[in-house]
Amino acid sequence: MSAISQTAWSLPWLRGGHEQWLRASRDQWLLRLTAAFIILYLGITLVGPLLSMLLQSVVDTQGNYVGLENFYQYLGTRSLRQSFLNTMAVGGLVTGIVLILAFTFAYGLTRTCLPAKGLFKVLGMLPILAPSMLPAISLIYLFGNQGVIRELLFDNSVYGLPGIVIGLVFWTFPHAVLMLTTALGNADARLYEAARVLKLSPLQTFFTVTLPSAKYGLISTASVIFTLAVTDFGVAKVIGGQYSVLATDMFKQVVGQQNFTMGAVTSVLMLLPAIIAFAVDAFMQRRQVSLFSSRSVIYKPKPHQTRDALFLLLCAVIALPIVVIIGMAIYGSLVTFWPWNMALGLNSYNFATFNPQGWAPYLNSLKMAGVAAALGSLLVLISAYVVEKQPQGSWVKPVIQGMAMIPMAVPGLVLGLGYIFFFNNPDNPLAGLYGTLTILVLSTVAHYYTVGHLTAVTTLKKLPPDIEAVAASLKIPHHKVFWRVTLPVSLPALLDIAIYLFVNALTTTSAAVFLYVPDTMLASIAVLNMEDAGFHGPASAMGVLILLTAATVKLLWMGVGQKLLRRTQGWR
Amino acid sequence: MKPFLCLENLNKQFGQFTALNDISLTIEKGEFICFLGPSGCGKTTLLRMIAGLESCEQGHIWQNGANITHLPPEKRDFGIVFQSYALFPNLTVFENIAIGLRQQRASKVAIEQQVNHWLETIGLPEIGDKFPGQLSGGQQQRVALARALILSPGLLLLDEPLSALDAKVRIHLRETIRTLQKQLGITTIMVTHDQEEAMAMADRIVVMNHGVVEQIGTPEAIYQQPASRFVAGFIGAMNFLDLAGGKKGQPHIIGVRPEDIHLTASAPGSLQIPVRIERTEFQGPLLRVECQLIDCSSTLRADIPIHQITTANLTPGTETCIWIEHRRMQHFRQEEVV
Ligand SMILES: Nc1ncnc2c1ncn2[C@@H]1O[C@H](COP(=O)(O)OP(=O)(O)OP(=O)(O)O)[C@@H](O)[C@H]1O
Ligand SMILES: [Mg+2]
Repeated sequence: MSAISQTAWSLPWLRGGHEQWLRASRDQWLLRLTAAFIILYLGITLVGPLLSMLLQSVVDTQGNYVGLENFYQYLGTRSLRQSFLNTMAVGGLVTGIVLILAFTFAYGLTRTCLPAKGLFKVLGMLPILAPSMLPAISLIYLFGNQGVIRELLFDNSVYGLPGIVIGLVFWTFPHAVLMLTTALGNADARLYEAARVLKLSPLQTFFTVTLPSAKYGLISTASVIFTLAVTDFGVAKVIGGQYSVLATDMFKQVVGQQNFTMGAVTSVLMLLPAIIAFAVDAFMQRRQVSLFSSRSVIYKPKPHQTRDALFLLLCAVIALPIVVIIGMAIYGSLVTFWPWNMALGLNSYNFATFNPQGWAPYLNSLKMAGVAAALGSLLVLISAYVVEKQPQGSWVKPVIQGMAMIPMAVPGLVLGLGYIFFFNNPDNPLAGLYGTLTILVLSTVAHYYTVGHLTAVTTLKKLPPDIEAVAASLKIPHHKVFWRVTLPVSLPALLDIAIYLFVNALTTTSAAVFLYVPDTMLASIAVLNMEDAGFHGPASAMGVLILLTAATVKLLWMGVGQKLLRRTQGWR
Repeated sequence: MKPFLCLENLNKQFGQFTALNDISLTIEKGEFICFLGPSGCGKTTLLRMIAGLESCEQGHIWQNGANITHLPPEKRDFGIVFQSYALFPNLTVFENIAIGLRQQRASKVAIEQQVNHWLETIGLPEIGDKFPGQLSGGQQQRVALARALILSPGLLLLDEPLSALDAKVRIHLRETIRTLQKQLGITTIMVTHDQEEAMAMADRIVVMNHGVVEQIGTPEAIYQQPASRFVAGFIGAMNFLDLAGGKKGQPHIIGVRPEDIHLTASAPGSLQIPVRIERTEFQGPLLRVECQLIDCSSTLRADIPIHQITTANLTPGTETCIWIEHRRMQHFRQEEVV
């Protein structure tokens, strides 16, 4: 047996706490260093930029502190005030419409025996794989001045509010379906049996059982959809026309007029509704008591002819526009020169003709998304691990957790502007990152940090809590346990996070639009630029390419990845 | 010869909350010690301090003659088993047990031989290739035990190892643990809140409450001479009688176990008390009788072996007498009554 030697090096002059703190084991030091690294990392890539942005909103162009002067000036400008109201209108309309559609769709998927569920699930998820400009471009093909079915609008223009709302409904729909299928999926069959015993009508059952149990899911969904709608830039940029919203204002102020101060003020105004939505949600979640306990029995719908037929019809009606919009984008990308030469061909995919960078943006996107997925997922897992392994009462835990939740409420444009202020500052030793692909990776990982963090924490909580203690008793260092046990066990979640980061990195425009230089242009930015230059076909083609790439990766993951996992995860 | 493990004046604060208050305790080599007490009394905290999993700001811990107070857990010498089994879920049973040896860079042959030996010892020779998720709770806990013992540590720590198991498995496994412990002669500390378990297994029991040690002693001593009213009430059942003016005129409390109350004068010099029968309850081997003292409001519970109830009339409402032998009475000071 290994002899226990007295190695404690007493420092009598260091009293109590300090002495204890310094005496920590190697494992503890490693944990502390990792925690310090994570805090530093999030400080640089998230908190620092946001603070610089906030600071910028309260100084004048000379850099003098002016308090809320900029905000008064902003709100005093009629056109800007109008944008704020416009944005809220968009947010409200989109949230309302998406909630109704997605709830119906999710209800069909979880509570009925609708045929072809798998197909509907895939269709419902498709829009998430496209950049938000794609539906807007497609809507122009459909309803624009030369649109194929513009007669359906009876002389109304699709440019402006209608286009923005339809585009955003399309693009945010999958997020809502995902959240609501989860909320509706966890129903307790016992409650429905009780309702039947009490002879409640189906409608009464819906209002007394179904709706209350989905209430918190609905609130969360509303908050997420509202935030997405008020902060999205791509749809409004393409199809907004004269209808100005905060996101397009901000783009004009920063890129057009180089008025960074006003850009910062707009950022803050965009941040406000997002933070309010987030706070309302957080407040409501705290009051939520889980109605679904381990004793509950999962509700499984039984076939019911009229109901199933009705939902088949409803879901088909909801899914049809998705198919039409995506189909139109693909068709548009294949038409040689809309509307004059309708011959089909791959002309639009010859990007070099329309854009000096040619195919480079697409390759940049692949590279950026790949690196963001690989580094981001590992980083997220390690930081979640650090949070989970903190001793009770440590301040590190709430600090990292708090930072990890921030991105949820921060729009990409706001983050991107913050990056300009923070990294484009000659005093910053990291200023060299400006204009590189690295900064795009950093901003993407920061922008999509929250979901990954939550997934990783949930997974780690499933591991037995005491394995580190056992390992210490067997003299096995913690980092070894991490590689040998924690990482393999978390592999499926890690890959889920990686795919999520990859898809979002491919489709995102918001932060990148402020941070790219010609050499680091991304595919999604190329969509925007070519569209802006009037090349609808090539813009559509690039958008379709992104969609196809994201879909391929998703499918690969679902097919090959899962099979591979099943082999390595034999212990499950 | 110094004791194997020595705890001196240990304190533990969590913020304002005192989890452990001035704990001192010595444990001899080869002893089986149980920490027993109600939930939240600090048993786990004390065990974790011995393992080095909780820091120790006040007091000292000595093991095998060395001061280990501030050593990190990996520098100490113990094996540990948790209620949650804490097996590595993605490693086979064989690997779970072998991992400690691999870390020590033992040879392949030695590992193979040792692990198989331990699989035999815990009575599960066939399960090396299985994963923990494929085993029952009792089997998992056996594997955890083998894993904790394979490096032959000087001290085995068990934190409620049996609490997650069902009654039959629990009794079987507690025999396994006890036999193994005796065979190896390994000093063992087990945390439990099950008094029956503690009494059946321990050489000595440390009864804890609210972060302090109430009593340390053999199971018999703790049952027969509880040091405080808390211990008396926590271990087994006890009636408390407030008899004014005891010895030296001090008010004090008498404690008597239900099985020490008789319906006849069984021994000379018994205390006779008139009571009224309130309720009876048939319990199989004995009859539980609840009765009220005639001259005051206290109630008593008596357990009377069935074969002794032949003539006595025990219908509720009957007035009769009970007898208690003097030597069976415990005396507690008034201030101990909460
Ligand atoms: N890290 C901590 N921070 C704050 N309080 C703690 C911490 N660990 C334990 N406590 C508190 O210390 C007290 C003793 O806890 P401990 O886990 O030792 O109890 P226990 O006797 O093992 O109880 P149980 O039988 O429920 O396991 C409890 O009140 C607990 O809430
Ligand atoms: Mg405990």
